[in-house]
Amino acid sequence: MPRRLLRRAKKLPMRRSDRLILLSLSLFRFFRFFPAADATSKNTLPSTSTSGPPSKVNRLAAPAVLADASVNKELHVRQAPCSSSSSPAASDYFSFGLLPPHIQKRIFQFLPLRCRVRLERVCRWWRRLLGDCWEHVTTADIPATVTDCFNIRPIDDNHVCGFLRKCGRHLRKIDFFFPHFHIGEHVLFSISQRCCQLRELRLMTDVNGVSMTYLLKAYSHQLSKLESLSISYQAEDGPGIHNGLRAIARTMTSLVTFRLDCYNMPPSVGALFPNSQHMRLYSLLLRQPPAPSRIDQNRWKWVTAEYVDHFLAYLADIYPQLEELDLSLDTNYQVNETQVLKHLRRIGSERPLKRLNLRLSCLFEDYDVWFGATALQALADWRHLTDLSLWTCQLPDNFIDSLATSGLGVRLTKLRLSIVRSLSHDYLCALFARCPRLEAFSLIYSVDDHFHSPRSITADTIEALWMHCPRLVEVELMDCDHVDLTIVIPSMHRYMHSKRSEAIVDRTVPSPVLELSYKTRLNIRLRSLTRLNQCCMRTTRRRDDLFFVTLRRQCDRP
Amino acid sequence: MIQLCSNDDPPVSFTVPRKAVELSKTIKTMLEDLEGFDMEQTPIPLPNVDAPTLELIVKWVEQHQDDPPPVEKPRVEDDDSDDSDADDDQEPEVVIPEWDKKFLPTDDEQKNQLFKLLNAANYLEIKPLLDIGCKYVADKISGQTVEWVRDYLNMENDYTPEEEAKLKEEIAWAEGL
Repeated sequence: MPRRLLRRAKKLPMRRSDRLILLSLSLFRFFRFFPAADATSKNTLPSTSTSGPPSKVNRLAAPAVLADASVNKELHVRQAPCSSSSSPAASDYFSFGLLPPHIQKRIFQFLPLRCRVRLERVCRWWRRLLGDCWEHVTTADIPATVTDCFNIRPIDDNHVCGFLRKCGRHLRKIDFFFPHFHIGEHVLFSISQRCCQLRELRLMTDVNGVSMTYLLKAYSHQLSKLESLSISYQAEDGPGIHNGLRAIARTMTSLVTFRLDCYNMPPSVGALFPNSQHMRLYSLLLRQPPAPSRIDQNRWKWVTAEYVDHFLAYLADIYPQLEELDLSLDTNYQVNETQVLKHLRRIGSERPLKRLNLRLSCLFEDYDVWFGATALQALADWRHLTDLSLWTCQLPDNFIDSLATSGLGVRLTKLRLSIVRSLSHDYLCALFARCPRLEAFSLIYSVDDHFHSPRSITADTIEALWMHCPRLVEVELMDCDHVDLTIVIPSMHRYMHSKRSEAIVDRTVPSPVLELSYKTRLNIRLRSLTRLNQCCMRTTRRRDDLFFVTLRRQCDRP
Repeated sequence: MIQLCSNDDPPVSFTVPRKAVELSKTIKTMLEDLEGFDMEQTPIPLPNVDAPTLELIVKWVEQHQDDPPPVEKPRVEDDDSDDSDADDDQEPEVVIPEWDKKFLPTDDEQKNQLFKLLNAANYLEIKPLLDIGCKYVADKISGQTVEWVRDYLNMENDYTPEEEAKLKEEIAWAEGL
């Protein structure tokens, strides 16, 4: 109360003497935070020539007198000079408490966060000021943010909850990893109580299925306002989180983004789809455990062909606003391609889907026919698709033609082909020729000595890419063993840096820089690559096997 | 040269090079607004600054008049202090230069002077000086006990014992130096 009065008093307009009006025009903002020279000093402000300056005793005493008059015993500032009778020494007095609040806050901003919390005990006023210092904290990665903020290691759930108590109401996004059920429960309770503005939540854990199900059931209601939910559930065995997912599917009706990444899928597909009409991004990653043979095969429910069928059929009926779809289902059965084709057609043609990332199989080399030869014909009907990523599949025979006839080729700006079967130099050249607007292209072969890149895909193939796709910004080549980087670099420079492409730069190319990342098992010396660098080119090594080439399209030194 | 006058009776006046005095945004703006007047002849009264404080200010601006203007540089990652994405523009990076360390009135008897200096730096809008002053005070009180801070800054504990006990329990997790 006195504090508020005191501050208001400081904001009172001061009286100014006439002869200094000019000066005070620019000076007046100085006085906002200052005890104004009060009524007694209306004679003149100090200057070398004229009469006496205002009594500094009065000026300094102003706030104190005011506070004195209101509630003396709640005075925050000890030993404040109380009247004009104070000694000269007292009139010299100036303490922290007399500094304007924004300066006090500024001092607090230099304090370590943990210290800010501790010093809340000093007094009520400090508690309020220090509390304001948290409003910038809107995202948190628990536990990393908490350990970094407070420099405490190791932390426990009390630290996290203390942190949430401070900034919970400002948080909009939380990433939360919890190693135990009890920590998960304590912190989720705190999140659901305090984080009223929370929009995005990501949960990562490997607690057992019963615990996770309990947590999801207990808190999905209280977190039902979330717009984005990601669950990364890493436990490999146990009964899974079926009922927990059902609780989410039932209650989370505001979700716009949903991501699930787990090893164990629920018996009924309905549990995988939160009941929200607003869903824009749906991402599902059902993985095989790294070593399935070690686990009791009977308790492990594989994704059967029927499961995939049900899943896609369900998806085809919901989420009319879906724009991005990530699907990665490991299965060791061959799916019914005709059914999948039917569902994919519906999914893509009835929604504004812009991005598809699809992986519908597990890696069995001995299969004669890979997934996709029939089912992927559906892509021709995806009228809004601009970003396509395909994994472990076989493209339909007429894919190249359908790129042109359906208009898909012209729409595509991003294309990623990972372990796609029966690609060749000629095939890729034909494909590039039909995708003139590509901005990002990735060609990926397997890392672990399976699925080698075909011999025919060489630096010549990549040269065709430069030739047909002038808008390229990003190219990624992984384990394309026969693409020789020492040939690619000069050709990249030749095509992307020529007068012809510079003319295009001005109008349409989205970025002045082209980046190429190249991962290989082969042993390449960086020096042999940097020798090839020309004017606006830079080659670096990120890791032992990862190279990075950057090319500026326009030359600094023409 | 510009003349600055303290608020004492009689006022003490200091003559400062214009370049140095323009480190104060307040005075710089004012001089710009009064372009055309002969400011060399008109002393500028500073009603909120007393002579010892003004002397310090003048010393500081003269020392720093040739400093390059502060640039808005991108935050440098600082691994031991705080998390950058959670804490944007929360903890400005300020290093107190050697000269300033000796310059700041750091003795405990000079506390008054230090806060007066901060107040004046705020009033005159000399941001770098304000920053090092604030940083100095923050360094001084960080890592200290609550009681020490109260005593050092003359803050009155206005919690009831019950409230304080409750608060102490609530933030127990942050205790420990």
